[in-house]
Amino acid sequence: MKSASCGKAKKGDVLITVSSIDSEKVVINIRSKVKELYAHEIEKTVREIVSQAGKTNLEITVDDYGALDFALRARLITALQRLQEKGDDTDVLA
Amino acid sequence: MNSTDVIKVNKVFNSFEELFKQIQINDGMTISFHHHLREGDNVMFQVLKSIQKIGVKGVTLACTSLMNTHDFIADMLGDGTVSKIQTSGLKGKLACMALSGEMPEPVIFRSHGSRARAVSDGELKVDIAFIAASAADIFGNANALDGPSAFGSLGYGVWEAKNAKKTVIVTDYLSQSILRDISISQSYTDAVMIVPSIGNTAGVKAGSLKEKGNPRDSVIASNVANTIINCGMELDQSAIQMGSGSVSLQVGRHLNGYMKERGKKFKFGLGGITQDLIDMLNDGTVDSLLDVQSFDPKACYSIKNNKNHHEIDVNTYANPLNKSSAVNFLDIAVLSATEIDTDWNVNVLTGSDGSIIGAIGGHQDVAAASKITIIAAPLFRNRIGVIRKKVNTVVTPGENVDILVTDFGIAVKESRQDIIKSLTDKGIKVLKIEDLYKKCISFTSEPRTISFTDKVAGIVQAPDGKVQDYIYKKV
Repeated sequence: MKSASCGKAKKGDVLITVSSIDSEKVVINIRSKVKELYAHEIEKTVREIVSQAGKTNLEITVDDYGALDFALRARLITALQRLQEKGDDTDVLA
Repeated sequence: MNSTDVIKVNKVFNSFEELFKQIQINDGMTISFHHHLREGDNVMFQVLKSIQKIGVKGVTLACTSLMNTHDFIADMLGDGTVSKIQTSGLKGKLACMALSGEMPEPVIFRSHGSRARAVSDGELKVDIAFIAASAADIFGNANALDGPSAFGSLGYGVWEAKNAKKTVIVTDYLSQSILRDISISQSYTDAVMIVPSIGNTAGVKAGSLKEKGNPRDSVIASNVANTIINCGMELDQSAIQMGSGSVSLQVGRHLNGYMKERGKKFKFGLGGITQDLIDMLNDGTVDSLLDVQSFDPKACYSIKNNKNHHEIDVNTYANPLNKSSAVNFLDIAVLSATEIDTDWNVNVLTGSDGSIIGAIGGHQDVAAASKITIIAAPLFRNRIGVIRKKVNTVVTPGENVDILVTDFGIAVKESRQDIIKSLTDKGIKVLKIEDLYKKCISFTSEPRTISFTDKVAGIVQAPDGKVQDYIYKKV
């Protein structure tokens, strides 16, 4: 299983970890300080970016500390790029 | 016992066991504490543990406020030692318990002024007030200026002592000579309880009093100072309350410089007294400080040595029903908010997710009385928007608020055309609060609406004792 991450576990930021999985699904786990208020918006943004990138077989963990939407997008896009850069045959954790 | 014996009664106790033989504590009594020591308080713990030990049940805990350090009370609600809570604010475990419906009775929230009113008009009858003091003498005189744990003004404690049926001074320093500075007179004191330590005065500055600022706070502070300077109010001989926290401290620094340059002087600085107000007193840019609560133990030296630094009790500070409380003379007040809505209603007690995170403090009292009331807040805190269509809990009604200053601009209420004109004439852009709301949502997007049950978890009083709003248990 390959994994990559981007962001920080810090106020106003978000730490995103993406891992390749065997199943053809996209599994999203959200931990957030503002989960009650914004879990729906966070999930919407994550699904939008993943589908734009045409990805499946992913587990995405969002560890959110109240990041604004643009920060969430930037962190997720970078995490996906980092995962891609690792290629298919590596097995190194980020 | 004849009258001479009464005079000779020894007031000083070294064990709670002996104290409770003299001062009867029974099931269902109301006991009170003040919160000057804030996160550093250790008096409530020692007193309540002793009460729990002797098996007293059903106590009403009437505190001027409660902090994270008082989480231990959760267990005492569990075993029935404590059954009701009345306070200005609630944090940590106790806040969670109130919201999840684990408290037997709704919590009553009062502002400091409302608390002063309630203990004097009979709404809140305190059986025993346990008052942390940093020094006492054998006659029962007390202050918070002497001794190793000096914390400054005893403003809340003084009024509790005057109104409770019995008053117990709890201290870790018994002065051998009669105290020179007497905040609570022996005439109100039934007993002096000596404990190893009343707490850690470093905890006074913990909690909401973080000094560490960030660039955003600097922008807000600069906008607040600019607003105050240009709002049309003559600052020379005006009265101001600025609050605590990093924004307020920076506002103080801006105003100090401005007043010094022009040889102007505020009449008085009121409320929680910070190091910056003491600097202004020393620099001659404020004539007097009226100190109901010292947010910095350094205030002790200033109160003792500067005749213009006055310790005042909470009755003098903000009781709406007395003949003349200090808030009524305020010209400018800077207050905070967890939320403010487009009708200008302000919340300082609950968060947007419905949790209890703050305290009313003097918010309602000051906003109602001050000629100009400014709310200083960021547009959003971590994705949580501060400007809402409707606040979760109305603490201070919109009619008492005039200006909102954020990091993204300044809004003034339509009805204050005088302020709008002054600011606009000085080239300061004035926005509508709806504009700031839209700006806020453009960053945060619309949050999900939180659902509440119809079970009341807390009652928020207005200063006159009427219900201002309710806090409901979450679904």
